[in-house]
Amino acid sequence: MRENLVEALQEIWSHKMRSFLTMLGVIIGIASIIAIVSTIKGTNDRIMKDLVGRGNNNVSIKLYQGEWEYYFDTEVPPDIAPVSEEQEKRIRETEHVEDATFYNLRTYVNNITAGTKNLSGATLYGVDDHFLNTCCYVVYKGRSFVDLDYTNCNKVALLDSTAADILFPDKNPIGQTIEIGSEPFIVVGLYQQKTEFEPNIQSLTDYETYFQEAYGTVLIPDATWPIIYSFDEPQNAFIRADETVNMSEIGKSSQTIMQECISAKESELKYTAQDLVEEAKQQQQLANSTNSLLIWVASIALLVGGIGVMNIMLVSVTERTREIGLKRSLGARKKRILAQFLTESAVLTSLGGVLGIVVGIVMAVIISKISGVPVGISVPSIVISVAFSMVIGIVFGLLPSIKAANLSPIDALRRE
Amino acid sequence: MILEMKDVYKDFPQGDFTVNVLKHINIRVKEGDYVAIMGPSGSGKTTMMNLIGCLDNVTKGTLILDDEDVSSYTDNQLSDLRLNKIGFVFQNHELLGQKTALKNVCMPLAFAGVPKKEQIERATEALKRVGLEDRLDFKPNQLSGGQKQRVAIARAMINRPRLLLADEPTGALDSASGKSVMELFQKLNDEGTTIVMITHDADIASKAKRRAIMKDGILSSEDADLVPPYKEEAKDAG
Repeated sequence: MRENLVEALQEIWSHKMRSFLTMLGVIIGIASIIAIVSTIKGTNDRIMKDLVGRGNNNVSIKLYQGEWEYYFDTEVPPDIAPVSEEQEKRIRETEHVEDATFYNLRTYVNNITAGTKNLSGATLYGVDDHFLNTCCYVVYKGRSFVDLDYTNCNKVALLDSTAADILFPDKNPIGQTIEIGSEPFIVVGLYQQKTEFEPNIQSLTDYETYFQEAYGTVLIPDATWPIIYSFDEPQNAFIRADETVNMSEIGKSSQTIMQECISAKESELKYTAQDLVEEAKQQQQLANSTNSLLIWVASIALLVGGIGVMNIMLVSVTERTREIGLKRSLGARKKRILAQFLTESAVLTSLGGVLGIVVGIVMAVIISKISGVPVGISVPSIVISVAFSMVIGIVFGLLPSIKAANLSPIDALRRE
Repeated sequence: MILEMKDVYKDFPQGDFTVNVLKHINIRVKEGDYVAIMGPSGSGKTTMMNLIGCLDNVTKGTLILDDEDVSSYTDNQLSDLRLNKIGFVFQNHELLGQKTALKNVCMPLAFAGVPKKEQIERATEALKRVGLEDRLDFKPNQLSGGQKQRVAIARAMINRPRLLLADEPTGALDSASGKSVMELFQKLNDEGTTIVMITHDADIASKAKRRAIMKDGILSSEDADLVPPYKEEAKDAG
């Protein structure tokens, strides 16, 4: 086997120009496929990161009524208990869970005011002490909530920069009072995302997130929630996964634990984890299906390349008829001649494959520089490409190799 | 009996006709023999050699090599037979141009699956025996005609075959080189190798122990032990 390889490389090297031209078809085919696959992977990675991970791998679990998110009126829905401390602990201790927060929520709140300024369409969260950490927020001005705020039901609030800008356009909001449904709250701090990210709206969920940021968000301790709304309101949750791939799994397990809060068997109410991974996969499939057409086109280049290899191998067999005849007369079996030519053809196309990968990656980088599409180098696709080009060599080398092996030794020796 | 042919026929179809190249060939070669087969070109010598060398199948008759009937051997069996029991020396040496003398001699060992290190040891030894120890890494185009033929003999003998077949081994050589090749053959025969050689040169043939003559596809010899007389009547009766 090793000897065959060495002989094949020598043979290829001794016809450098011819070998290179033969490989060209395979190089172009593999390069196109690698370039396309890298672009697809880059796009998919970005969809995953933007939509699912958004940088912090949070799974959102919300209460649904039938098809729709539960809309809180004044009343607490029946047969549903708040998430207990024991349940919270179980969720936080689940494998792959980094942190979890349970919160009360109102959206499109219009009764938050500061003097004459009014925050319309705002989002109001009643949060526990895990909220900032789980959602990757930091307080960049003032202070965060402390244990005393929870135990004493202090009426304090954190604002995001949008809310702060609207309510206090020209003064320092820290220490100022805002009213939420006529209850006064003191602003103790301003918070923001740990790292800024550009809004990249690809789904309704993204739109909502962006919307919240555009209209302002206010956080208050969940202990003070009943002052404005009611006791024992069911909570929603954010669960942060250690890695994006684990989001679906921990979403399902946490959803099951929270579901225990709903006692009625036939209830219309249901805790549902947003399976963003699934959503992202659907988007990726859409991207893939357009690009897989391109792969078919590139495969035609590979096919043409393969035919070129077959052609050159047939020429090579004819040229080396005497060598084949001699080897056979010295006692080489047919199988050996077959293996020799198959190896040569497989080595030829594999080299083409390797060169094609290099060219393909360079092409992908150039495409990304021009069009801004990100590049993701996929290792499996590289391995598959090399294997596939080797298979091309074997498949298209088969006919010439069989022809070589079946040459009658005396005919082969007699040929000039 | 190292080689025996019993009523061997060989036909070649040529369009609508069939050419009977060999007719009722009978020959018996014993271990240690040195046989020359003479005859004009086109008489069927090379065809006979191809049959003995298992490069071609007989049309009719029996071919026995080393006491075994090989007439119905499969392709793989014939390959192994060529590898282990037969050594070939061709008129025009048939060395591979891109390989060194050493690599050319190594080839049959590689086919036999001998480990690389042993291949080189044995090939070096074989080239030493034909007096080319200082030409190991020379390629064929750097060697003289006689040297090339000696490399070819070293290659033919590398697997220690029972039977050495030579087809006009001196045909392409000047007389001095031819003489050295013939001396080499003599030495090999003295050491016990059976040799069957084709030549049309009576001088060369005179070096052999026995001689037979091929003419129009019929083999004859004064030596009844080598070529048993053909009994046509018995054949017809049979």
